[in-house]
Amino acid sequence: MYYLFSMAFKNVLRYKRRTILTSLVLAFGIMIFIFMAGLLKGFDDKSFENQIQFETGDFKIRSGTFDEDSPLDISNFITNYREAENILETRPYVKSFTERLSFTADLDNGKSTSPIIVIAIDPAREDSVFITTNFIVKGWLEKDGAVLGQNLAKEMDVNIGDQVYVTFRNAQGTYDSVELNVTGIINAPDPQVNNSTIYMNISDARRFINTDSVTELVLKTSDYRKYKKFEPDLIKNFPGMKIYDWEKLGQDFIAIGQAKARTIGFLLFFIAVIAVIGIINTMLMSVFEKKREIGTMKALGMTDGDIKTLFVFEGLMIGIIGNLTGLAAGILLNLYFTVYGMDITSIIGSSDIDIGYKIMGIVKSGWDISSMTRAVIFSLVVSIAASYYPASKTSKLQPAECLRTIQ
Amino acid sequence: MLLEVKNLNKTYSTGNVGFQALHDISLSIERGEFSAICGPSGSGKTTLLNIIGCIDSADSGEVLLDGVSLTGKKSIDLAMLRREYFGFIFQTYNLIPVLTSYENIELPLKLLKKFSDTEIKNRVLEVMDKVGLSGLEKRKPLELSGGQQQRVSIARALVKKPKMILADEPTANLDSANGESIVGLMHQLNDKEGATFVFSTHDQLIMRHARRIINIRDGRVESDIRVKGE
Repeated sequence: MYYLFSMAFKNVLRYKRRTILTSLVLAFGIMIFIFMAGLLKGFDDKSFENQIQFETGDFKIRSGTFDEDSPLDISNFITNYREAENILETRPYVKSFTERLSFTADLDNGKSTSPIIVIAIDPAREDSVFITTNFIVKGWLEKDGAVLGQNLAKEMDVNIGDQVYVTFRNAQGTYDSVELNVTGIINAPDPQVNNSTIYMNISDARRFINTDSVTELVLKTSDYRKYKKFEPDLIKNFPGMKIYDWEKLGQDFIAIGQAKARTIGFLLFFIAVIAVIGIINTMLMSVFEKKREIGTMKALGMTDGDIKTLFVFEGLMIGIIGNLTGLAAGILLNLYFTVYGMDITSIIGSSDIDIGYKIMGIVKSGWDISSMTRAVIFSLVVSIAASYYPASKTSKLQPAECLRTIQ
Repeated sequence: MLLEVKNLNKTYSTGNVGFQALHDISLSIERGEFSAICGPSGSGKTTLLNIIGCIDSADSGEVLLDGVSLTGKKSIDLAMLRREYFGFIFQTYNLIPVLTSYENIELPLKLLKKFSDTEIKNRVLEVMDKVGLSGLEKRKPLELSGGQQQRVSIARALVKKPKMILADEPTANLDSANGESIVGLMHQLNDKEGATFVFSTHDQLIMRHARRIINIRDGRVESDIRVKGE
C-alpha cells in the first residue's frame, strides 16, 4: 500500500501547476468557509451576549396571567411584585434583579405620530442586570424625561430638549397622554430599540399609568448557563407566576441560529461543488494522460483495485493540500477579524437595518472549531468521492487498450 | 509445455469496419525458448503477444498456461497471473516517469509482496548490474538514453524471475548498435538464467539471434521454424 501512496504523491508533484490550481480553488472555498463560520460565530456570541445583557436577563418573572400573544399589554401587571422581590433577596443564586414596566403607546411630535414600545426602568437598578445605559449616546434618563431610540428620534425630527407626547392606555383602560422632555438618545445593538422604543423612569411610568405594579422582574444569576438548575427553585417559590429563562425568551434568536446552520450548510455545499468539479476535472485529465502508464502498471500485475487506490490517493492528496492551504489561509484571515473585528454599522450603512443579529459597531469574529472540523472532514470525503469516479472508470480498462493509446 | 494457444481469433472494430488481427492461431511455447514472432507491421504480432501475456483477450480460442486454461478468468486472477508469470518489455519502454530506474525495477517485486526490503534491494542491484545499469539507480527515465531505458525495461521484466518474458519489438526504437546489444543481453539472460523469451520483431538483424522463428502474416502463422541462432 505504501508504494501506491508514494507513487500517488509523486504523480501529484508531477503536474505541479495543475495540482496547485485545483488545490487553490479548494483552499479558497475552505478559507471563505472558515472566515464565514468565524464571523457568524462572532455575530452569534456578541448577539447572544447582547440578548441577555440587553433584553432578556437570565430570567424574567411575569404575572401568572401574562398574555404571551400581547407581551406589552398593560394588563400583564404583577401586583405583588414587592413580595416577589423579598423572596428574590433570599435566593443565593440571584445576583441582582430589577423591575420593568413595558407597554405600547403612540409618540407624537406635534406633526406626526409613531407607534412605540415604552420600557420603563429603574435607573438605580437597571445597571445591575442590563447594560442598557451603556448605549445612551446623548443625555441621560431624567425625571419626566424620555430616552428615545436613535432612529426614532431622527424619524420624528426631535432632539434633546424637545417635547414629545406619549399616548397610552392607563391601568383603568382609558387613553391618556403625557408630555415628556427628550433627555437622552440611545443607540442600541437592537434595531427594535433604535427604531421604535423609548425608555422612561419607572416611577414616572407608574404615576402616568396610575398603578403600583410592574410587568416583569428581571434577574441576573450567578451563572446564566445553570439556568436549568435554578429554574425549579424559582417555580417553587413563585407559584402562580410565569418564569421565563433566557433560552425561552430568545426563541427568535435560536431561529436565527438555525438560519445560520443553513448558511453553513450552503457554504459546505459550495465547497463540495468546488471540490467535486476541480478534482474530477483534474483526475480525468490525469487518467487520460496516464492511460499508457495504467496499461503498463496493469501489465506488471497491478489489480483494478490497486489502480483505483492509486488515483483515489491522488485525489485525496490534492484534497489534503487544498485543505491545509485553505485552513492556514482561513485561520490567518479569521485571526485578523478576531483581533480587529469588523465594523458592522459601516458595512450595512446604518443601525436601522435589521439583519437579525442584535449587534452593532465593531464585532469580532469567533472560532467555530466544530464547523471548521466539519468542513475539513467533509472536503476530504468529497475529494475521495470525486476521485473515485475517474479512478473506477480507469481501473476497468483493458491493459492492452491502455497500451494502444497514442500519446 | 509452458504455454499453449489454440485456435485464437481476434477482431478489432473501428466504427462499422472490422479488422481480423488473428485467424485461428495455434502454437505452443516450451520452457527456456528464445523465440521470435516475425512479420510485417499489422500482421498480428503484438495482438498475439498481448493475448499470450493476458493483457488482452481473444474473441475465441484458448490459452493454456502450465496446462491450465485462462478462459473465463476474472480480471483480478489475470492480474495475479501477470504478476507471477510474465515479464513485459515494450517497444516504447513504458517506464513510469515519476519513478527512478531503481524504483521502476523494484515495482514488480513490491507487487509480489513476498520479499523483504533487503531481498528487494539485493535483487534490484543484482539485475541492474547484469544489464549494465549500475550507478544509474537514481536516474529517472527522462534522464536516460533510449538504450538505457530499454535496459531498465529488461531489468524490470527480469527482476522477479518470471516464467516467460514477452518483448514487443524491443529494439524498434533503438539504433542498430543498441538493438544488437539489447538482443545480445536478452540472449545471454536466456542462456545463463534459463528465462523464456518470446519477442516480436520485423528486424532481420535481430531475428538471427532467435532459436525459433514464428512467421505471421495477416494474422495467420505462415511458418514456424526452429533454428540454431547466433
